[in-house]
Amino acid sequence: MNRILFALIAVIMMGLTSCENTEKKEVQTLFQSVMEVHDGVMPKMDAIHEARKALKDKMNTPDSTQVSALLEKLSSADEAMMVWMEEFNSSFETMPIQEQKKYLESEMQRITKVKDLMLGAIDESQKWISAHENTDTK
Amino acid sequence: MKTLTLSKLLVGCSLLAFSCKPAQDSKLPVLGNPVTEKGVTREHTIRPFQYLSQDSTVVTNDSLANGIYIADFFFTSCPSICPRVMKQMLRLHDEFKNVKGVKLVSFTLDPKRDTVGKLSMYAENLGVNPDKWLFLTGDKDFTLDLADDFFVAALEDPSAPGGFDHSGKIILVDKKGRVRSFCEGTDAATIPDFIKDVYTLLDEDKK
Repeated sequence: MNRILFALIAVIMMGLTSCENTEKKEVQTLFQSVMEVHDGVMPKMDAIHEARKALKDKMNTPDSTQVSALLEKLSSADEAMMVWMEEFNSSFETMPIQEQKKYLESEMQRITKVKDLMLGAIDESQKWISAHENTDTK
Repeated sequence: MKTLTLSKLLVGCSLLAFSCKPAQDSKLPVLGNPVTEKGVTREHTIRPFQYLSQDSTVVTNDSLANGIYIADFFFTSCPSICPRVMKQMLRLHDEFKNVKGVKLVSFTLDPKRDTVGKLSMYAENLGVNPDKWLFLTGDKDFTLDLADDFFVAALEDPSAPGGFDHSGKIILVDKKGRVRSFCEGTDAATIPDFIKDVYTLLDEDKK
C-alpha cells in the first residue's frame, strides 16, 4: 500500500514538474515573441527621424497644418515606443508563473499597438512627402 | 647528421613562425566614404558634438581627442538589444580599465528619460569608472544624425530596412575622430578581434 502511495505521489510530482516546465517554456516563448516585435520595430526610429526632417523642411508651405499633424503623429509614435520600454517590467520573472503569462500577453498587445502606431505614422508621412516632393518651401 | 640539421631547421622555422608579428600590428583602415567639400576631399570624421556626461561634465570631440574611444548608442530602458550590448561594453571596460588613452562613450537616444541623474545611477549600478566610461545625454535629433557618422557612412547596408538599424554596433574612433573599427555588440564572438583592433590603434599612436 505504501509503495502504491509513494508511486502515486511520485507520478503526481513528475506531472506537476512537467507542467511547470511547460509553462516556463511558454513564458520564454512569449517573452521572445514580445522582444521580436520590439526589436523588429526599433530600427524604424531612423525612418521616423528622417521623415520628421523632411516634413520640417515643408513647414513654411501652405500645407503647414497637414505637416504639423504628421509631425505630431510621428512624435507620438516615437514617444509611445519610449514609454513602452520605460514601463516594461524586466523583472517580470519574479511574478508567479501564471501572472508572468498574463503580463507578457498584455505586453504583446501593447507593443503590437506601438508597432502599428509607428508603422502607420511612417507610412502616412512618407506617402505625403513623396506626393509633395516639389512643393515650394519659400 | 642529416636528422640533426632537419631538427634544427624545424625548430628554427617554428621560432620564426611564432616571432612573426601578428596581423594586429598592421594599421587599421579609416572607415567611411571620403567627403568632398569646396573641392577638397577629406576622410570621413565624426562631426563636432557637445553633450553632458553622467557627472554633468561637458564632453566634446575636442575633450575626447587626447585619446581613442569606443562608442555605442543606447537607451537605459531598452529591454533587449541594449542589455546585451552593455554586457560586451562592460567586457571592454574591464579589458581597458587600466589602459591609458582609451575611453568608452555611450550616447543615449532617449535624453528625455536618460537624464544626467538617471545616467549617473545607471553607471553607478554598472560599477564602472566614471573617468573611463562616459554616458552622454543631449539633443535627440542631433544624436540620431550623429549616429549616422558612426554607422551609416562606415557600415552602409542597402539591405538593412530603414537604413541605420540600431543593431547594437560598437565603434572604435581614433584621436582625429575617424572610425577605425566596429563590432556587433550583440555578438560576444566579435569582441576578441575588436579588442585586438583597439590595441592596434593604440600602437599606431606610439609609432
